Amino acid sequence: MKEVASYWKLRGSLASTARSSAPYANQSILNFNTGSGAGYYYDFTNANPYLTPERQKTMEFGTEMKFLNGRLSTEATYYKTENTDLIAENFRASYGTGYVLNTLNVGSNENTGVEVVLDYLVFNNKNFTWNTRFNFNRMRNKVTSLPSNVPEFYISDTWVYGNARGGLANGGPTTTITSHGYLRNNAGQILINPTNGLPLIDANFKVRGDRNPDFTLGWLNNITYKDLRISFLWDVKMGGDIFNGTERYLTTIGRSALTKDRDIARVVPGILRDGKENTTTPTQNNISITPGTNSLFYTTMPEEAFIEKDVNWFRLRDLTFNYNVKKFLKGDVNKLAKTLNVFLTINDLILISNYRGADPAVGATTSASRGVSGFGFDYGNMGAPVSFNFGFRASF
Amino acid sequence: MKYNFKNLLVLSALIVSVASCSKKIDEAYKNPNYDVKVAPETLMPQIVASMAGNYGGHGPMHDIRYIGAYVQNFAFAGTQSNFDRMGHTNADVAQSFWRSHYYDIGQNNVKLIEWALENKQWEIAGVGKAIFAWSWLTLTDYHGEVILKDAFNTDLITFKYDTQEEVYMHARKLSFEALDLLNKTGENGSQAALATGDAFLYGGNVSKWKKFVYGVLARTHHHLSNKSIYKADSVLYYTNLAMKETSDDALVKFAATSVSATNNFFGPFRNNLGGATITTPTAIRQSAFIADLMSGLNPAFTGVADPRAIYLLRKNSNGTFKGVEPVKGQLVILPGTDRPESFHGVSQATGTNNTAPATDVNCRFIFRNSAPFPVMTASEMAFLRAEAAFLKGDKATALTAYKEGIAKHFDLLMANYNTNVPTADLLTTAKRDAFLANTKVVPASSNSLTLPMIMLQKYIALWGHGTMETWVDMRRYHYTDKDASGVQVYTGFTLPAAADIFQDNGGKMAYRMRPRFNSEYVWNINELNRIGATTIDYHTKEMWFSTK
Repeated sequence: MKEVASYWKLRGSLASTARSSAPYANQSILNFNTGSGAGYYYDFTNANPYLTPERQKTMEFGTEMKFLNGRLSTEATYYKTENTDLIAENFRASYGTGYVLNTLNVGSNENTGVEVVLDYLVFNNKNFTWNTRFNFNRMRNKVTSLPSNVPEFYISDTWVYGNARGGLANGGPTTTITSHGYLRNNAGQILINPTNGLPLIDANFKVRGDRNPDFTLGWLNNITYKDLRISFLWDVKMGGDIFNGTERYLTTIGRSALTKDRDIARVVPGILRDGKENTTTPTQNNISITPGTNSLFYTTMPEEAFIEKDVNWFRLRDLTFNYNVKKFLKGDVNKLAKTLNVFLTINDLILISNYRGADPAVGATTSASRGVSGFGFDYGNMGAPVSFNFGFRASF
Repeated sequence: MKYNFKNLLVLSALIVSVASCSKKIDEAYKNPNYDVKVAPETLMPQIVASMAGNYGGHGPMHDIRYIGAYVQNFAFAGTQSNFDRMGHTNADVAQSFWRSHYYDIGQNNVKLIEWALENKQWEIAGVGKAIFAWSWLTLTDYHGEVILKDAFNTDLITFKYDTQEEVYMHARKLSFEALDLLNKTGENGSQAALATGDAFLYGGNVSKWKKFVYGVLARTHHHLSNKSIYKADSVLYYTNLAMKETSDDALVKFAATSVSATNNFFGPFRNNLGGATITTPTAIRQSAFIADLMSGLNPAFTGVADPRAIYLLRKNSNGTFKGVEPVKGQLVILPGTDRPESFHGVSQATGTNNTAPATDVNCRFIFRNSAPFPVMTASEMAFLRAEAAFLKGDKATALTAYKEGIAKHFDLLMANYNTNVPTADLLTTAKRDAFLANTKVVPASSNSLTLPMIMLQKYIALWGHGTMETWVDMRRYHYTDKDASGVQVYTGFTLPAAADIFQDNGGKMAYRMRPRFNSEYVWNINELNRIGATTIDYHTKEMWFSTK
């Protein structure tokens, strides 16, 4: 046993932390009355004097093992984070509070995840080494409680286009896409308006997608041959939905490839809403429409139709060639420099994806915005450019 | 033992330090950007304005425009209003008072009372409670079951509804608490502070506020006239203590500066009565019922031309008073020269480009930018007395009070609303006394006094401002109930034709306003389901106060 495994470590941690509310979020503010007699009145928001800090409990345990004299090492970590007493700010509620908006400790959510790292020194000769490293990550998240009177609590920064946004609903993930969608019968079939043959729209923000990937995997390689070093990182993402707002916009103005066949008549597959849609003998849609002469076909398509499911990517995040040219230096110069490297780095050279838009690595917000951020919302986003970096690196 | 004692000392020291700290933290770190605590009387101007129409246009005036159609104070110029049809519209229309009570008055008044009590400024706290007593009663009379016990609890997300009876009892309890406070002399410049905060209602006159409270108590008793527990004597008792003179009338005043929010909500500056063009569907006009009632066409007062009509109503191009019938719209009135002017004095005879006036030089009564708005009047109290005495069988008292009710309405108009009335039409005490001497209006013998006379003269005295109270009255008489002699109490009042009644009503009349849509139907729906407020005809469900 000792010959195979040279090192084994188990670790675990439990922590509990608290996060305070925004400054003065517990003091309701007074506005100036512009009416007769001036004075003051309360602002719309109940800045709750009884707010308590948000609580976070984290639990983590993992193991680290080394085999073959340290050439093969592995690390595995399981973590669970529970957030309770989350402060929901400025949400609408009954005026029974004496205010229009409310701030309360009401929400809770949890994250669980697994991280596995595998590192293997495949070759280790004098002139040739190859080190490869896999980094696997799977995370699951869930809203465990929200105010029962709030059907959807959305992050307004994610609402960048149309009727799709990052909304939270009780029991759902924290990374949802909530949007308008197709109206369906009890059997889940799309309902069609019997007067014009177009699908009927369910104008409610319901959970219709989850942006969170099934897993991500990084694959990093370092190869050296004498003075040449090549390193590259493959990045894999499997699963996770994206709202392709760009495509929806282009479709409504007739610039998307989806509209190429606009002059071909078609019958939208679905059930006519004629009163029999929930019986055993629903009427199949038989109304033919030609989108080229009926722009409503494109302009009324719900956001649900533009949520791309299970978007994967396999991309070469970066590729670097590095060559130590010190041996070409002569005399004193050689002595002066310890190393002198010439390198070329190429970012995002290869992207293989089933995403119809420019680049699936999109986000509607920056990482500075609050909440789980706006990744997975694409509206006018540009693909990451292929970039080349060339340079020298010397040490003395 | 000694050991235990030491522990106890440490523990109590800890408790003391925790208790003394908890208060200090918020005080030490006050929000530097906004005021979070102010002198209580500075909250009062906005609260007082919310008893009429505040900076945001919220208050009874907002809703009166719509429910004025139920009681036919008004009718819409177009034919499409749901309110002409005894119906309702979602999305907060006619549901402003819900907001006024819980938000505009609501938390502001809670804090006003709390901080005034801290300062030992008893009179200010008393006025706060008086306003709450009025506002709770108005709220439940308007909406029925409302949030009472859970109200103003900032730590809840769903709010339970309480019964109308509980709200009535709460309004009475607040009234007595208000009287206790108003009977005391406060400290820290209490009276002077009240005078500034209350500048736009009673100017800090504590004895008038007490009369106001007695007025609220009188209403809480009189609204129950259909019940076996009704005590006419309680109404007589409280109305005797309530407003008696025109100077006692509770009028919300307006500074009417160049800032829109300081002007009367009904005036042309704020322009909330719909457009001036003749086809504007949302504009409100005087109803045919009030126009006929004041021009001698109502069978109860045949041939009596009421000299107050020129104050309240608008003439048409032919110089007569005519009004609009519900659902029919004004365009059916032909010739067009018979159509009443808008309340801002714009002719509706012809043309579709009549423009809204820039000033209020042709506006009268409560329709001017600076006109005060009555909340409760001596005249109303006299009519309460008249009806209570009449129901009790004391016709002599009823007749005296009836006369007083009419006289005090004349006085209200003369004291506050002479502006822009043609000189020849100005009311005088001589005109008032001549009207009172007309036996068609005031019978010589108390035995000839009828319930329709009392209720119709009260209807006139509350027209345009006391509309919410008139709705209470009309619901007590189920719009078309008859008196003992078989005459309809609201003589001449005609409901819309059955075919014109709002589709969800099932042929029934409007008896309550639904709770505010964007407060309750969106965010408190579970509770509405529980009390049955989600049925499509909930607004036709009779109120507790009017049932036996």
